[in-house]
Amino acid sequence: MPLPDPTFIRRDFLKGASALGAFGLVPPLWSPRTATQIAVIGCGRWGRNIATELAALEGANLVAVADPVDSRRASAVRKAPGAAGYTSLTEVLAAHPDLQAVVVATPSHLHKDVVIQALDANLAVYCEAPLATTPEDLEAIIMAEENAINTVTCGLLARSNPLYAHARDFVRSGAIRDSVAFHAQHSKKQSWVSPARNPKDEAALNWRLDPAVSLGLAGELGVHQFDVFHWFLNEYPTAVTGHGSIQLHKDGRKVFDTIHAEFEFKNERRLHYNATIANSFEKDYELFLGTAGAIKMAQDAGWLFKEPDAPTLGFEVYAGREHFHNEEGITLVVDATKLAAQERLKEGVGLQEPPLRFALQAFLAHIQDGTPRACNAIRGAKAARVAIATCEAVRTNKRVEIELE
Amino acid sequence: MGTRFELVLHGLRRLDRRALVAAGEAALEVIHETEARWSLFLPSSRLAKLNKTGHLQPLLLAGEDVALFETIDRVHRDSHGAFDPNVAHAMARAGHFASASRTAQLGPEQTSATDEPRWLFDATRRTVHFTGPGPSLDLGGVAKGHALDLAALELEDLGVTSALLHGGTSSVRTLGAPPDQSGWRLAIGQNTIELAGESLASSKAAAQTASGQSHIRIPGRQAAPADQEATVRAPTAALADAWATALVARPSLAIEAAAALAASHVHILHSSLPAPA
Repeated sequence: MPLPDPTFIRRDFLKGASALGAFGLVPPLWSPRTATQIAVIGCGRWGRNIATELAALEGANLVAVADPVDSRRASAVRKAPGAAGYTSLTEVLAAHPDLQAVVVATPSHLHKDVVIQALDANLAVYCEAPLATTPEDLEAIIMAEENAINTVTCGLLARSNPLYAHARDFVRSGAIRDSVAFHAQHSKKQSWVSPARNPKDEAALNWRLDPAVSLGLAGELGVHQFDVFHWFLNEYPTAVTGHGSIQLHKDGRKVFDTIHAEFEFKNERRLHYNATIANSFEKDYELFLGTAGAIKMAQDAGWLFKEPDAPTLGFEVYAGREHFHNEEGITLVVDATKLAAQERLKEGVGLQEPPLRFALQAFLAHIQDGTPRACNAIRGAKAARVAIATCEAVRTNKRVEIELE
Repeated sequence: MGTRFELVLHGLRRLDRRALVAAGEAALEVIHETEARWSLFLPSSRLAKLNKTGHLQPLLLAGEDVALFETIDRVHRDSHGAFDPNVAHAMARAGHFASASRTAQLGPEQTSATDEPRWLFDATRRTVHFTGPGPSLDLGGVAKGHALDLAALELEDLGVTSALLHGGTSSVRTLGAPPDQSGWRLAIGQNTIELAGESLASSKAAAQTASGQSHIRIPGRQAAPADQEATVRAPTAALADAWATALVARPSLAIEAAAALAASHVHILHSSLPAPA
């Protein structure tokens, strides 16, 4: 099926579609069965993971990958047979006039130019988080999207993760009653060094360790977790206090390998966050503490821990349980009631696809049938602004007010 | 994979220690990602998806996983079915997953007594599917080697030319040789062999069970006898893994499949039957 007329304003179509949809009158923009012509721009480790997922996704036709570094580009092509390798989006656009979408996985400080170039080419854009690393770049992306035919989806992974959506419903329906405090961490022992075959690539590949362009652990790791709290609580922190240090990687780097941050939410509630690449204990998770219990989320699993005085919840009778030292967690299962009725509850434990796959599927669904984006550019920009403020707080060891606009 | 992986990397040319450590991290990350795709115990793995829905729709493979199923198909054919990953149900029935803290992700049991369904791999379309309900694959006899092969590719991409990678000491993949040596020297029993850019796998039927019973199942038959073992050298770790498993399941393949083994450049270093002259 051909692409829609490029003069057709997709954003307006979707607005109308939401009204017509109630009467079942909405034709799909193009057939869901037609694979979307897509390219991945940026073939670092995460970009290659994206290429691997897209290559194995029905509904995606990964036609191109782009990266200026030869070995990364070649590796991405191996993962996606049929995709051609290029050094830049400019080359991709010249070779693939029918391209419909791009995934932007370049270094974060380079997102802006690629996203705007893709929007100018009328492409649907999926941009990795953080959406950008400066308020000016975020503003430029938002402005460009305002004037574009197509839209930007931000790759904040929790928002397309069905287990997180399920847990969010719990939190918002009062399962832990009034929230009182929050905690999150990311722990993974690693160097954050990218070896370069060619010395000329050394600086470009190690951009995460360049304080002039990198938001450090807060921007590259924390932004995904901060956004879990934004999304679950439907509010943003007003200020953040930070601290950072180099605990393990004393190789002359300036970007901290261990950070702490404390975020201020309404009603004097605080989120304490720590991230380190010097230790791996308990990896990454987000924890919501409430007066009736706690919810812990860990990417592909989630648990509810109840206070003794909490009311009994209906699903508890058939729910699975796991023990954590002195605590007993009720395993959160998507569609638990339905699965229990079919005596298939065990099959629903855990996440049924990797989080990245859910995110890319949601992006394709948005392109192909107008399903709302899991995370739009405005929300992506707000999360990035929180990360930018956190980076500043960590660097200065001071309290920083968070400006969301 | 529940296995400890270790790497030894030598810094040739300009790679310093910091860069080598980073290259090692990248290789281990690849192993972790490969496990995430092909673990029998992760509900989000591609293998779990295949086992649960392979009879309903084909599973599309990413490029690098095509080699995995090419190896599976090739060794299954050349070993006359002795290597067969369609053993997960049999493993479960034999109690091999009962003590696991996680539950194996299996598909539905076979519903028809005739026309036993099997898996079908289509290299052109990059798909695997089941011809009906029933198959449930366990890639324990090949996935570890596949992960090592992909990790070695990652190291090569990063400029590493001399490395030894192993998973649980039973699967080994090498790149080049150590500096000033002709190969990586490995002790196998009383013997020492050298590997230079090749792979090695060793399999023993009773190696992974506390009871001393065999963990290698032969489709349609009993488990392989517990005392059977095999060690092979091959161009890739996946190929070595699969053939070591096949030779434990059916030691007579050392003779029956000699031509296929030679064509695949697979050499038997040790097996329960003497290798052909």
